[in-house]
Amino acid sequence: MSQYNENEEDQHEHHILSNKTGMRVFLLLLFLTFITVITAKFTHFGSFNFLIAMLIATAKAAAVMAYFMGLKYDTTVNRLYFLSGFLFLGAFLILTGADMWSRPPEMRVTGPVIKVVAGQGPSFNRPFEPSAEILAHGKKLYIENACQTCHGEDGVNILPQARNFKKSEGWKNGRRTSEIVYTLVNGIAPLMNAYPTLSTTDKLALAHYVHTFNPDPVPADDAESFKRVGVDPTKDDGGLAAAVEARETMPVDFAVERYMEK
Amino acid sequence: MSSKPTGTSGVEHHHAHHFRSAGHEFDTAKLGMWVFMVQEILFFSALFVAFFIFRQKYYVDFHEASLELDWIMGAVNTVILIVSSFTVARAISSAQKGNTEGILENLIYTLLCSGGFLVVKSIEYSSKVHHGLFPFEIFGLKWNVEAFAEHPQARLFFILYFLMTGLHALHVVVGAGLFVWLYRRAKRGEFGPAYYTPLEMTGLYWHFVDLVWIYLFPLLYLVG
Repeated sequence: MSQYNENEEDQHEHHILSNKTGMRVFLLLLFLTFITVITAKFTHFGSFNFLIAMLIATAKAAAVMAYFMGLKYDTTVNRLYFLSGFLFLGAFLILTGADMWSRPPEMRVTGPVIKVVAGQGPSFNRPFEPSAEILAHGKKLYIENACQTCHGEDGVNILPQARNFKKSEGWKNGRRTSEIVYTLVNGIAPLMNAYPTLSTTDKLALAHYVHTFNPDPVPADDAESFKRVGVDPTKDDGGLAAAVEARETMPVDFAVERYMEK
Repeated sequence: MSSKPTGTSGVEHHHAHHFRSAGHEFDTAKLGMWVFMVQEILFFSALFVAFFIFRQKYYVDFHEASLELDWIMGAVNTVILIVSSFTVARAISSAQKGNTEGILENLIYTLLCSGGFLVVKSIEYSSKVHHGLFPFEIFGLKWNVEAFAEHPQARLFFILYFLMTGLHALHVVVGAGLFVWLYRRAKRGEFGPAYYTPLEMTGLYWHFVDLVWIYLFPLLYLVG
């Protein structure tokens, strides 16, 4: 093949695939195809089927790449280029798979609705009355749910349209504990979110914490208003330990989408 | 398959002036082709990854759906493509040995194989359409909901099936067109040991098409 090698730098031979090698690779490919079908259809390896099929396919692919595509006789550079494609494919597959299957149940891509007993968090007796423990829990939730981004860390609103908790005017649903819980249940259009992922006890804890910003006394509450949000004031624990509520779980990416929509 | 060298061993080829030699030109073309192959892997990878992920998620539905595919036709297509890879390799070695008859003969076999593949594919596709298993609601076609009433995600399997095999079949059609072009050039005596670059490049492309099918067949038809 001297016409290709006029120059010192291009002295490599162009490999010619011999009849013999070509025929052998061809027969090997046919044989491996036969094996693929047999192992998949006529044997019972159960969940190994997939792995076996993929391994045989890779063996066939290796034969085609090495001999028919000539990678065995080609330069290292070309080999690296082509195999790098499979590396990127592997990265794509493994990283996507790792993300999806490492999520705990409450963070799956499709969030299930889970039924939980309403009394979550520290156990509250008479949860419609505050205690140091309830207030600490409320404060934790306030930060976790990013309330301070609109309502401020001291209750003074950063966002102009948000409620200033230090003032007693302008509370659209009212300032009573049950009414704050109501706001958390339903939200206020257009900017205040509903928080369906919080249990009722959590919402009560938040309401108590919000009260601490305001110097004015908390207005008196009533049974009807509490019942509206699923609390029974005649019971010590508000009926919350026994109640079962359905809690929507919010998958992270859907939460992001909803946040962006706002 | 004739093996005696005939005709054009004395083919003249003047490489482009910005290359050191014809060998340099060939190596450059080959590198470009390999880079294109990397792109093709990534091109198909989007669908393959989607298939892997959703197969894991909806394993039962996908399994039920894949039982609808005719694995015998899939196996026949696999054999057809393996034969065609073999014949295209023979066409290239014929060129390297200066055997024009060999080039022409093997190109015809390769073309026949690609045609055969497309025939089997169209039989499969029309059968799916006939049973209402075409998952896209275009051309007035409707998805047959009753067929998989208890396995709603079977439709997703068929979406991926048609997209993946359809994209692959498109590559086969392009390949067939390339082989017709190569046949005409070979008939004019343009290929020999001094110059067979287009054959080599199209051969690489065709082997890649075979590679994709080597994975598609077990994935969709056997263990889907």
